Amino acid sequence: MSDFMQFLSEFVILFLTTVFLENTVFARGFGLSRAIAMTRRPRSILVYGTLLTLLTLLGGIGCYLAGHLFPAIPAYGTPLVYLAVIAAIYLVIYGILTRRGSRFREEAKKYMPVATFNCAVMGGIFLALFNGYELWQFIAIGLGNGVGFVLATLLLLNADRALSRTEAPKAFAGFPLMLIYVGILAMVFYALVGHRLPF
Amino acid sequence: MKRKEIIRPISDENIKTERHIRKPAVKQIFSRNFLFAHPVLIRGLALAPALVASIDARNSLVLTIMLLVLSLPGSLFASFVGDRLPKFLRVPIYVLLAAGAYIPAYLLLEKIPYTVFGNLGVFLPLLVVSSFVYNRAEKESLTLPWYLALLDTLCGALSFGIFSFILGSIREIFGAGHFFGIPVNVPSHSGLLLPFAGFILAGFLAALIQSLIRYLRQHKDQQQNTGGDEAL
Repeated sequence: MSDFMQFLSEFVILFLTTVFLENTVFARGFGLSRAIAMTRRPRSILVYGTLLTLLTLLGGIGCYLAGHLFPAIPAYGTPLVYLAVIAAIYLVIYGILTRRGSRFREEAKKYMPVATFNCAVMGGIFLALFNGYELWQFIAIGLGNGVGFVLATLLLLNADRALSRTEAPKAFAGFPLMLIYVGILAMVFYALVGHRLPF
Repeated sequence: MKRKEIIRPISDENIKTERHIRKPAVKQIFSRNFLFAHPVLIRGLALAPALVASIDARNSLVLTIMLLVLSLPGSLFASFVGDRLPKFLRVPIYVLLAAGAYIPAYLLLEKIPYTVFGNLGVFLPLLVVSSFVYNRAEKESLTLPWYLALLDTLCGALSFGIFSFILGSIREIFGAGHFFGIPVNVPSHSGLLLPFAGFILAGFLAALIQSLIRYLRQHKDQQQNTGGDEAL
C-alpha cells in the first residue's frame, strides 16, 4: 500500500510540475504560436485542449513503445520514426471522429491536424524520450502538458481582453504587448521554480 | 473609396479557384514576408525556436538553414498536388516530408565546423512540427504555383533568419559577452539568455516593425489623398 501511495504521490507531483512549474508554454515556449492563435477562437479552446491532451498522452505511450521496439534509433532518425507513430495514432482517432456525431466531433475533426502536429505535443514527448523516462512518467507528462496548455491559453485569453482595454501606445497594441506579457509571466514562473537571476 | 478585399478561407472545395484569384506578384511576396506579414513578428509563427532557442548568432544560422530545408518539401508538395488531397491527409504528409528532409540536413550540418547542435537541444527536431512549416505549406503554397511557393518559402525562412540573427546577436553580445565566440568588451547579464528575455525583446522588436508598417501605410494614404486632391 505504501508503495502504491508513493507511486501515486510521485505521479501527482510530476503532473503538477508539468502543469505549473514547467508549463509547456511559459517555460519553453512550446505551442505559444497556437496558444495565441486560439485566443481568437475562445469557444474552441476546450476542444483543442482536449485533443492536445489526448494526443500527447497516446502519442507519448506510442513513442515509448516504439523507443523500446527500436532502441538504436540515431538522432537524425528520431523525428521521422516518432512522427510516423503519431501520424498512425492521428489517423486512427480521425477515423473514429469521422462517424457522424456531436458538434464536438465536428469541431474536433477541424482541429485534429493542428492539434496533433505541433510543438506542444512533440516537445513534451521529445523531452520525455531524451530524458529516458518510464511509461508512467510519459502518462503524467502527457496529461500535464495538455492541462498546462489549456490553462496557459485561458490565461492568455484573459490577458488579451485586458490588454485590449489598456491605453497602450499604438506600436505596442496587440501582439507586441502580448509577447511582453508572456515574457513577464515566464519570468514569474522561472522565479516560482526557485531559480534566481545571476547577479 | 477603397474596396475592401474579401479574403475567403481556403477549404478543400475552393482551393482550385482560390489558386487563380490569389496569385500574388513577386513584389508582394517580398513585402509580405519581410514586413507586412512577417512570419514571427506579425504572424507569430515558430515562436519557440525563434524566441527561446535564438540565444546566439550561430544558433540562429543553424535554425534558419534547418527551417528552410524542412519547409521546402511540404511547400512544393502542397503546390504540386495539395489540392488533390483532403486536409486531414495533407498535414501529416507535410510533417513527414519535413522529418524526411531532417535526416540529410542534420548529417550535412554535423560535418560543418562550428555547428552548435548541443546548444539547440530539443528545439532542432521540433522544427519539423513548427507552425512555420505548416503555415508555408497549407496557408500559402497550396494556392501558389510551384515557383512562387518556392520563393515564398525562401523569403519566409530568410525573414525568420534575419530576425533570429538580430535577436540571437543581441542576446549573445549583452547576455554572454561574446559574438560568434569572439569576446566583446560590453557589460553583459546572463539573464538575457533565458526564455523570458527572448519574449520581452521580441515584443519590442514587434512594436518596432508594427510602427514602421503604420508609418508606411499612413505615408501611402497621404500620397494617395494628395494625388486625389491634385486630380480635382
